[in-house]
Amino acid sequence: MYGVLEFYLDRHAGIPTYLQLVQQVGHALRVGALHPGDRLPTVKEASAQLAINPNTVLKAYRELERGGLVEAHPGRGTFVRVGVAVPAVPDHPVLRDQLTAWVDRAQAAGLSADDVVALVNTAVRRSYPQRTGEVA
Amino acid sequence: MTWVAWRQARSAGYGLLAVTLGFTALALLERTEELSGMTRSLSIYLSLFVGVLLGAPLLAQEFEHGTYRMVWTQGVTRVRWLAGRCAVALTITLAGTAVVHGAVIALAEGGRGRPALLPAPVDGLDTAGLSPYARAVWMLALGLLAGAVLRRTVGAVAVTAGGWMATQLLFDNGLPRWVPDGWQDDFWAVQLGASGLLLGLTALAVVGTLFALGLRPALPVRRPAVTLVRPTPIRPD
Amino acid sequence: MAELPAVLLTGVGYRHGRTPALRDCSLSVPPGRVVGLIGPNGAGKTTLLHLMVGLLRPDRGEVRIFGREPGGDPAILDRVAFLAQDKPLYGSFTVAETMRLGRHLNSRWSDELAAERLGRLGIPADRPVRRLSGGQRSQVAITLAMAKRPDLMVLDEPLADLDPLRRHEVMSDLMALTAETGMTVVLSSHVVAELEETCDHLVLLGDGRVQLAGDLDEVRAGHHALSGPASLVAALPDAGTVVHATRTGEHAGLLWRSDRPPPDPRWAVRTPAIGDIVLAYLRAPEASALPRPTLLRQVSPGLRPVQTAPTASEESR
Repeated sequence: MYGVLEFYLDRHAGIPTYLQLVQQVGHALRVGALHPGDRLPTVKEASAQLAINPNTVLKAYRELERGGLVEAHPGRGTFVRVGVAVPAVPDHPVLRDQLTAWVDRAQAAGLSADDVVALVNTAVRRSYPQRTGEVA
Repeated sequence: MTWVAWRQARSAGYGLLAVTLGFTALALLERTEELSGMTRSLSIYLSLFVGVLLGAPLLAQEFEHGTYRMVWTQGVTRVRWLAGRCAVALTITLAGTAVVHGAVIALAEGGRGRPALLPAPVDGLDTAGLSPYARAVWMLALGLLAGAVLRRTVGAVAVTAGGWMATQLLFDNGLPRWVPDGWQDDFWAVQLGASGLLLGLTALAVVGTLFALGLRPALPVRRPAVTLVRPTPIRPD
Repeated sequence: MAELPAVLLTGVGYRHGRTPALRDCSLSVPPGRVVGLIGPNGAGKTTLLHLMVGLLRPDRGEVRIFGREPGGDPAILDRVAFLAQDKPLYGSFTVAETMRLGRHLNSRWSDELAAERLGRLGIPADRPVRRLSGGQRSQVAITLAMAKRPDLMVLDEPLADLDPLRRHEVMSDLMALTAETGMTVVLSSHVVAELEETCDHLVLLGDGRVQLAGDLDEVRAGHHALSGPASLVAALPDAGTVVHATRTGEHAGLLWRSDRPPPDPRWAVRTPAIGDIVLAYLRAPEASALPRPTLLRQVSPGLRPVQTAPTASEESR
């Protein structure tokens, strides 16, 4: 049902808008906010919600389709493909809880959100040298 | 279009109704008091009210408030819009004139059994026969023209009032002298001559208004040159 | 696919009295685009929009909307909505009467759209327009334009007098209608940031001339932000042009227009943001005409302002 996924826009991220949408769908799948078979917002809904050009939404959906994450059913909408390999984050509640606890400790130690993100970025870059771009 | 034109003419129409009611009150007074034909002599001002209340603001206000940019970009052409508004204004004008000159004067003078109709041709030019109608229509058209050219209500009202005075001067002094000798006794010849003159001026004012609005009257249409358009590139998405 | 352009201007010139407002403006907007008309105040944006909707007639050149002359043609009037900068409405009309006017004067009018939008925004239908707040008046005027269900929506600085929340509301509704109907939108602004998420086509107007016109992606791809030693500037290939340059000592930073970046590896090349491109052109009002008047025709097709057969204005060059 619509309402599961709400896009947001980071106007200062320096990332093209369509790419932000693509990343958000991937992210929602990873954290279990979106499941195979779920419908994405229609182009009209998404462009109205963010007040962005409908072509930008179309471009994002086409990109997702190319990546095999979603499929368009003309007249019905765009759906997350059934059988798409959902990455494993929801299957690791232990890791997630540990991270949550760690963020809580960082906050208690007086770190700002930006500090936390910077630390995480550094750690991710160290362990995944092939990945480019920031976490957030 | 008709509803829009009525709605836009509403306040001016109320104004003219008030003027008509004023004349009616005066006429009722004249039935009982000796006012020596005051209703008849004041009735010449009706056309001034038509020009000032109805004609001058009709276009001037659209320009003054910028609303022409809203109404001229709706789905009807400027010509149709103007025709609709003029038709309604004309209806109000003719109705008001008919009430005042047809009924109210008769009401004022009928009480004492005076001959209300067909007074002496030149004397009666102002207040009887066709000419009050022609004059009201001319004032309406002059108001339109002034509004279209000046685009300011105050200016248009001033020009219309000036035009009314000039017309009155023409009727009071000029016109009787121009009428050929044999015709001066013929009520209808004087009427038709004067009305024809005013309607001719009206036609000129209407043409002038169309020009001022950038509407060329229906001349043969210039065919636009053929423009070749290259296929638009397919969007890279 | 020989689709008629939604908006086509060829060699358009217009004078306000003796002052030239627009000179030799040519552009072609394919249907379905959301066009941002950008330019400083006084560049002629309003004049250009008035020409598009037929409130003005060009002194030179031609304006075609979906292939036809705007203004006197009822078929075009019905398909084009216009929102003037000061959003004029009849002050004595109530909101409901204003919508009734729309219904009477437009054959494609949608009562549902008007009622839904006004209801959602909480604008009282029985209130005279002159007694509404400024923001509400704007919303009524925008609703009047939207409920007409146009194929081309022309808006002159639609967001200028709205607070950020209202801006979002307006753009959101506008984008939803665009998604639904595929209409073409032309909106002017002097703030680029306002249009960055909504527009996919850019027309840059400077001092009465079209400096730049094209799809945003193509405009972006056709410009390169270069930085490097100033001594390299003279050696840049002929196939491009410097739009704007700054120099600090031996270092030069410039915006270069060409379909590909310069081959010299000593240049650091970046894809510029649209805002930077616009700024560079605004700083160099003569940029579209320099250094060779024909240059605009050599770069990528998307930057080509004219997609027409030769016109009188071209022959006169």
